[in-house]
Amino acid sequence: MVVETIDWTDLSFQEARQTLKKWRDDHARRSEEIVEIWEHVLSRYTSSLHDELWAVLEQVTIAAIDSARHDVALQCLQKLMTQFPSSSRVAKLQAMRLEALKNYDDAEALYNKLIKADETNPGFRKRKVAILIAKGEKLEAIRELNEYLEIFINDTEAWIELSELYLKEADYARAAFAFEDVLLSTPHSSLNLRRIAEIRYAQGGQDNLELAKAYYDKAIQLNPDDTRSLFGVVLVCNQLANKASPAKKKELIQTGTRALDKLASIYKKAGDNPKQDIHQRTVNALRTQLSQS
Amino acid sequence: MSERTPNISPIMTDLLLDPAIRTWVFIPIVVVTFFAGIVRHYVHLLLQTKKKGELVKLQDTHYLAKARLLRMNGGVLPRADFEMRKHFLTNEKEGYLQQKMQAPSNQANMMTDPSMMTEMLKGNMLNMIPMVVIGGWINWTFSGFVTTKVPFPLTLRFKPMLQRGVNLSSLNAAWVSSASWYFLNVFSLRSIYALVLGDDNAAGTTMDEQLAGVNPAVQQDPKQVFKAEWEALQISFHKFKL
Repeated sequence: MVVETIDWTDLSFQEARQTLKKWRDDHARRSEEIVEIWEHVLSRYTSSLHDELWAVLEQVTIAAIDSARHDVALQCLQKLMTQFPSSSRVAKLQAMRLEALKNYDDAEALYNKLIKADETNPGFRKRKVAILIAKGEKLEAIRELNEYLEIFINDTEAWIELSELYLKEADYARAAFAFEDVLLSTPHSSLNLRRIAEIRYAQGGQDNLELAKAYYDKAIQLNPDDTRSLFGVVLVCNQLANKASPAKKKELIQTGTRALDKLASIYKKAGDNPKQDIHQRTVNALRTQLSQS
Repeated sequence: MSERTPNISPIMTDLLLDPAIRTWVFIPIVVVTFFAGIVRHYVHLLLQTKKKGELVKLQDTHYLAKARLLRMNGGVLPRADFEMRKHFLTNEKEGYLQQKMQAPSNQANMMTDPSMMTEMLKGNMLNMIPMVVIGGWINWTFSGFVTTKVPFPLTLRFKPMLQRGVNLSSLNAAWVSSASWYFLNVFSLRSIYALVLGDDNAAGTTMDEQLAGVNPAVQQDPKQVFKAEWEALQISFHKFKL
């Protein structure tokens, strides 16, 4: 499969504008491409953008900070500051730039000021947590994030971040608990079901393995071609079959074999994958292991 | 103005209206109502004070949403975790919902809360005054004749309401005066405002929303909502759906 490469510097004004709008609506994080589009195309048409210019500038500033293009970021930021001198949105961008320049103290001071001015804005508090994570102070970050979540208890993004922080500390039990809040918001997402299955599998223990199997099954039900979930099912069945009663064992082996068959068919269909034979051998090895357990 | 009335029966009169009515009454009323609405929208925007949300209220909405999500999707969690969360929210001593339910009633504050009163007052004034003024002007200027005919038949009881200045006892009630045409416009142009001004426009509020809405609803709301959520959560039992 050949990946289509688009030359972002060659777009027309309308196409560039539409692409950026689409990425704005999707919250896509394609920072380098955004900076390229800005530099080569849109920066020449600032007068034709009218009111959309400010939204585009904000998008480009964040993209530039993300790709360490501080010259572009500074340019755009100055334009925004002249237009909106006392805006908290622009102040947040300034603080983000300070963060990127590793000037954490000033950034934190600015965020504190912004929080005092508007207590209900969740963005500022989350950026403070981001500073702590960037500094490497994971435990502090966990504490701050927990405090944040006591107020904004429904912020899925924050729960995901907390779960990942716990995982980095290898605290699987708390990571699973945090991720369950994500599940509450997105109960039909096969991605999230698979993730929590993996956390449960890593936790280990009979109950957790059974939970993992249930979650993996549901994930496969929602997305039958997900190879990672299929492998997950096989591994869990393997583990469970070691200590299961004979009847249960047969059932587990059946589930596992079914998953392996699906995997084999997926790999066969993929055709020209260079690692094809490795995959096939893995599948066969798991199959023998399963049948021997 | 000419009216030819063929006398077939006293009720079935078929009028032919002067086209001058169409040009100088019908269309101007539509135009005036439309622009009045647009002006109202922009004045509302100008007078709007920036809302400073309260942290506690935001927190409450989050918790309520959480309780609802827990009820709806709790089947995805294992039993112990579901019970833990339910306990966190509904426990007698420490549960959040419980605390909020028993919080000292803030009802007294609602009436005396100055910011809310001014908001309500502004909204009411902004909608009532133009409507009354323009309605009165139209009634005064365009009185004494019928403007249009509604396409469906009406009973005679509508006549004094819809035919204000016209005292013809034999005139079909479907013929209405300019004042009623104005009111019809006021209510019907709402959808046009949604097209022109975008969905969140201030020109489209009707009297019903103002009267029924703000005062009693907000007073009772927080406590009742919490109570409702708490009860719902108490009776929900957990069934692992996977």
